[in-house]
Amino acid sequence: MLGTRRVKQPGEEIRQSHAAHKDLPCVMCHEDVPEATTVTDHLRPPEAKCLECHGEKKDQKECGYCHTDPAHPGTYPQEAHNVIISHKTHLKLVNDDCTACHVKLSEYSRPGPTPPTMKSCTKCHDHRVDFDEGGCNRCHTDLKHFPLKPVAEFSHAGDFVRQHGSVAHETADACVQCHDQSFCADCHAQTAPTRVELKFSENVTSDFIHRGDYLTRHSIEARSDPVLCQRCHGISFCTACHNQENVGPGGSNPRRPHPPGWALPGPTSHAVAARRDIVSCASCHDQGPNSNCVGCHKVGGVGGNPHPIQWGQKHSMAEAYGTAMCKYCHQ
Amino acid sequence: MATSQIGARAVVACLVALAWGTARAETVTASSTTIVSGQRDPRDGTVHTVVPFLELVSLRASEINNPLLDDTQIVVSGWGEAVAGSPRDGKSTLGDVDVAYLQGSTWNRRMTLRLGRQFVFPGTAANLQLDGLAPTLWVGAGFGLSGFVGVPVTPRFGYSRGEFTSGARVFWSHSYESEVGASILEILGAGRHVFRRDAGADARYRLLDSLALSGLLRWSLSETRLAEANAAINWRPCRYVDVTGDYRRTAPDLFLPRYSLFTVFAQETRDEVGGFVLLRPWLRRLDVQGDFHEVHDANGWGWNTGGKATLRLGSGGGTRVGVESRRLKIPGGGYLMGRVFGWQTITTKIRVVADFDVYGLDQPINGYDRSFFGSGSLVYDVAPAWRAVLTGMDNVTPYATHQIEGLLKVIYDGGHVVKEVTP
Repeated sequence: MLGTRRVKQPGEEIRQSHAAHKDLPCVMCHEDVPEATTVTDHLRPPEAKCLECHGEKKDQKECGYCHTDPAHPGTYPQEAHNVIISHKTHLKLVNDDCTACHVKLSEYSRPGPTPPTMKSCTKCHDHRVDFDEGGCNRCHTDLKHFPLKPVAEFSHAGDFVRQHGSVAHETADACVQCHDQSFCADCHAQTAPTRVELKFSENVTSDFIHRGDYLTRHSIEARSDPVLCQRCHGISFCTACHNQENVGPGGSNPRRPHPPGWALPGPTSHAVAARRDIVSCASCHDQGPNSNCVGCHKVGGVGGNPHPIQWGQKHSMAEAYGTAMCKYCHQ
Repeated sequence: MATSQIGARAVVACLVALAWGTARAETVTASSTTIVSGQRDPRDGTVHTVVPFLELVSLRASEINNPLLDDTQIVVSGWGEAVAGSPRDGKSTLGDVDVAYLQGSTWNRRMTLRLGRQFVFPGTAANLQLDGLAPTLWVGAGFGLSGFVGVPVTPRFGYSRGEFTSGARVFWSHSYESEVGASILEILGAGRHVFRRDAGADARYRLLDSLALSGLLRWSLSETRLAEANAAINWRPCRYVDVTGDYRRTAPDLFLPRYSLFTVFAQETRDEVGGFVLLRPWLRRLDVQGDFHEVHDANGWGWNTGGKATLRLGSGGGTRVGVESRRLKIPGGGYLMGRVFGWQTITTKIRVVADFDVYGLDQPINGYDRSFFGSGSLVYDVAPAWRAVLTGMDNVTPYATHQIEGLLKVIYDGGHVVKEVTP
């Protein structure tokens, strides 16, 4: 059905028949419809509207004329309306012919919701275009409750793993039509307990960042695009794991992963590697003022000036003495 | 037990809010994934056995009746883990909350409020996870204002990524796929030191039905230079072709905490430009895709290129096979990857899945320049919404001569209404 679900089922229903009222114009009872720009329960006639013709039944206490359970009279079943449609606009387009969309009308003898099906919409609207573009929320306000085709049918094909961040940064409202943030958390939660590749180990056709033996290539990937790692993990993530593996100085039995001559000037000096991939250094050695870099590279130290070329043109000495980070060396 | 900043009181608050919301909600959906795995974990020359038991739970209570907010919903996603054997970090029980927020609308649905542990995606926030409040106000004519204030979530295995964050964004939304925004962000660390202070602009616009442009620009206010800029153009002339071209510049040093010593050593620019092509010559049967990106930083040039082909055979794609390759080349290193994978439906309820990849490394690690990884899964749809998956993994890598891992998953993904409240 078109974006309408029955969310409450009262114990009784209204004995209402469209067939019995077929000779009357629809707006005689649904008088709010011609000006309605949204869908609400108020589009159905209130009791007062019924009583304009059937008031004598109430006066005569014939509650059972309308209510199936006169001892507990209620109103219509409430329905959740998850569709955007303006009756005001559409009535003009169909020359006030409600049956152009409302092909089937509800009857007490034939219970169940009878809003127009989506075919009524696609008679005029090219759903294929909206569908391909993932433009669901042009009509639907909440698709989470509806059975959907696999997401690959929407615009999630192609370079979506790489581009979805951009989509979310700029038009996140579109994503939430179908996805709760718990869906995002599968991959992006800072607190995630396990790799998403393990959580969805059977999804071999999906594109995952850390698929397979990521441990072996993680240092290469981090060197290739350090920002990609930093967006999610932060340096402390690296440090914690390296210390656990005893390749960081904070481990219980740390090993020295560096080659001979690492600390001295020369072909295997750390200087080149540090300039190329400081994040790799920081993944073990980021201890703030206690980092071993400070010992040699602070002002007056044997390591000399570590700043990149043109650093001095961009930063003043006043900044050096006024910034906590700089003070580690510029005391 | 919790691993992040979320404290016992916050956990209790989540549970109370969830209980309240569930009791008053008209719709409650739930999902659960149970994972039991066993692995041999070589550490310091000794092979340890680790058997984690992991439970992940998500709940969503929506249409919560209350007098204050419309469209009220509560979303909670969390996990707990018990580890038998010899856990790597010595902790045998762990747990945390990934997402826990209450959301609702007010002021005739012009304002949306979200309170709790959540993500903030738009603008310079760019996927920031925080414990706090994020309101959005729709002014009218597509214009709106959003903001957030809170504490950045501490990553697992990590220390604080800031002690306080706030930000705002103004935007104009033309349609679902067309929006323009400008935003500011500040994250303060220990001692009120600036972790990040950025201003930015973002845009995504569909010029034609087949052509969309997007871009993000982030300017570091503390360093007065560009922290990140990216632009992409996507052309989808028909269902058979999808082409994307993109450019990205980043300042790697600005993604380190500004009070980290290493920001003074790090490179200040990295550029990447390239494109992606997807072809579907046999719609719903064959996907062929390829990408190439040229990378440049202070060390020189490199590239990252790959291709993948997936073929679906049989009714409903009952058989799927694919091949994939990738070549990453950067100054001083890189790798070449080859991969084959497949998926075969045995019955309507059972299918088997296999995946195998091999990496050749430009620079050996621990004396090895090859890595092999293979996995196989048996998937059984036990009942509607219930699935069991048995996976075995075997690998030979520079870090492990031979490692075997087994994994059993039981998944409940209701994804449907499990409760309807009657008046």
